[in-house]
Amino acid sequence: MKIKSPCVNKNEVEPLCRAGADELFCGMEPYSWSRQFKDLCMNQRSANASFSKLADLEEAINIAHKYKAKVHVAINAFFYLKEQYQIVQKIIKDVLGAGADGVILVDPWLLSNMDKRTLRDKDVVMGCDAVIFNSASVEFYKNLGATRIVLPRSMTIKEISEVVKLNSAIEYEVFIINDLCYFEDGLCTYCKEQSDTVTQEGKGIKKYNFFSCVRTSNRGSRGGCRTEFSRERLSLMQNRKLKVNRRFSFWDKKHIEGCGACALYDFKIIGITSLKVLDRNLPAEEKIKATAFIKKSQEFLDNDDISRLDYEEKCRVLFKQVFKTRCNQYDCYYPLWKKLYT
Amino acid sequence: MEKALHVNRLNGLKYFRKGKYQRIYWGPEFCQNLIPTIKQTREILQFTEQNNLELSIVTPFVTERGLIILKNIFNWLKGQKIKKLEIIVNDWGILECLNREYKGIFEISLGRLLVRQQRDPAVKTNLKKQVPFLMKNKDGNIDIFVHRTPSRKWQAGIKASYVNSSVSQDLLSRFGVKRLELNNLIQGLNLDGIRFKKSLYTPYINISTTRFCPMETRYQKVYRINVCNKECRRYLDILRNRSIPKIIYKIGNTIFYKNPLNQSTLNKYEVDRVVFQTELFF
Repeated sequence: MKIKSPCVNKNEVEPLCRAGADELFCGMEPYSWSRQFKDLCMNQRSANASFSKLADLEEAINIAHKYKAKVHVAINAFFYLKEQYQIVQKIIKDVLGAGADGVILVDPWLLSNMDKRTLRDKDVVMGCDAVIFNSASVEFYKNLGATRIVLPRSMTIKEISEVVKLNSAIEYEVFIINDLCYFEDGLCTYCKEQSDTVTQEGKGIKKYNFFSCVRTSNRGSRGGCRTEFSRERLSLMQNRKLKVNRRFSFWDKKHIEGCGACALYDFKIIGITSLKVLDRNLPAEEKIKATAFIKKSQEFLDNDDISRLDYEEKCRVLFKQVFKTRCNQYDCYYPLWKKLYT
Repeated sequence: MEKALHVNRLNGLKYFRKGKYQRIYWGPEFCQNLIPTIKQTREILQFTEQNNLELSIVTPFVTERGLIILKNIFNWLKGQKIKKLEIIVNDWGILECLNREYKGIFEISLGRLLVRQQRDPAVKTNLKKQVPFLMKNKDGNIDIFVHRTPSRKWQAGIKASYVNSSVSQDLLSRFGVKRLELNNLIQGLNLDGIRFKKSLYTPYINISTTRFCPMETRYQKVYRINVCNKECRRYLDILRNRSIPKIIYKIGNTIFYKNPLNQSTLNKYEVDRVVFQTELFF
């Protein structure tokens, strides 16, 4: 199984490859795009988490290729406006021309309308926002030209295994660490909401700095799905209010980081191609640490005789060593696998 | 203008008024645990026949388990030889399946989850000028954030959806899609260039959906997947935050806000069907 790590600039490439990344993914949003469409982002992350110059991306790709690592570029907005489609297609062409080994797409129309010669011998990855929960969806995207499917993070190991068994002639990628999101990417519009660029205006006066942004913190400094709400609960059966905690947030102590290292044992059996380390927005040290942790966990499996229990125990010990905290069910990517996978 | 009533369980038919509705929408949009049985579907079919109504079957996004259940229902419906039976698709896999195994049998409509509009109600606050705010830095400096009015393209973009471009519509036509299901968004709708028939839902707009069921009841202390006690039929959470211009309703695995339709909106958008959700049911 390959390890796929996120990167946002060329400086991160070498340490990530050294930490064990076999593949890297990044975003691309050229200046020309930002100038023309301003706040309409080209991919699911903000412009700050993407390359803005093709030359930088090319350099990053060259460094990655030295370490025999592949680079996939995310062009994964939910959809583009009519006038954007041609520009996006050109950018994909440029990115692949710069040496990228594949693209991460979400929009089926973009996939179906891409020039097949451009995508020849390249990886065409359907991102998790494509919402692929079943073998028929895999077939849908395969027929359109996808070569790899990223399965959503909320799938259990049993469900993953069923999909892979029924449609094994394509590569699969699963999430393994960080960014255990509460909502389903492809069915949620919040992430796109958060991808705003904050621009500094002028040099500032004394202690004061000026910034401008489209989505101000009038929405709450956390915003989107991280907003804190006051809650009332109603019983639909009895038509009355119930007592519950008034304060509510979808992220309240739950699903903050996310780790699924102990599921590698099953993924090896199922035949998963790639394990995705998440979150382009994290600091480089965190990404390197997570990549190295997954690499080490994977190395435990080099010993074919290792039992599931031994492997899990080793992962738990390693997790505590690396992250200085114990693994827990709230942060577990695949918490139900013991019950559901036999 | 056709009016449809969306029901998800048989007792939802109590909201039916003869002469007011011409169509029944039957089934859940967001959760495969609530897919009705063939027996329930048979009853709804009898009801529509008795009242001379059209029927649309609503399908959610599904895993392999849900796909098998839906295929059984489709096979049964195929045997009933109903004319103009419509299936509302919220999963690309179901669209693929209908196109491969049931081609020409059902009329296909693209569901709200696949149309992918920008459904966050807080978006509207970004369209108007807002007061600046201050934030103190760690180093003692003060950052002043000023709201930048978004460009016209951004404003058009957040009102648009997947299906505005002709490219996307060509692909959907290849898969036999004839109709789109749309939310009546708080920021307005951009329906430029859409050549499909359009249905508009009222009054609830789905904001976001998860598979981690978040009802947090005495039966369910941890968010979980695939373990269902149908808490969504027992509890409703109402969430408020002053930065969001609408009250948020959390029921089952989805959150909603309310934005009822008015006549002027209907005339403006040229919709030919309105879907009434009489209650926030699951």
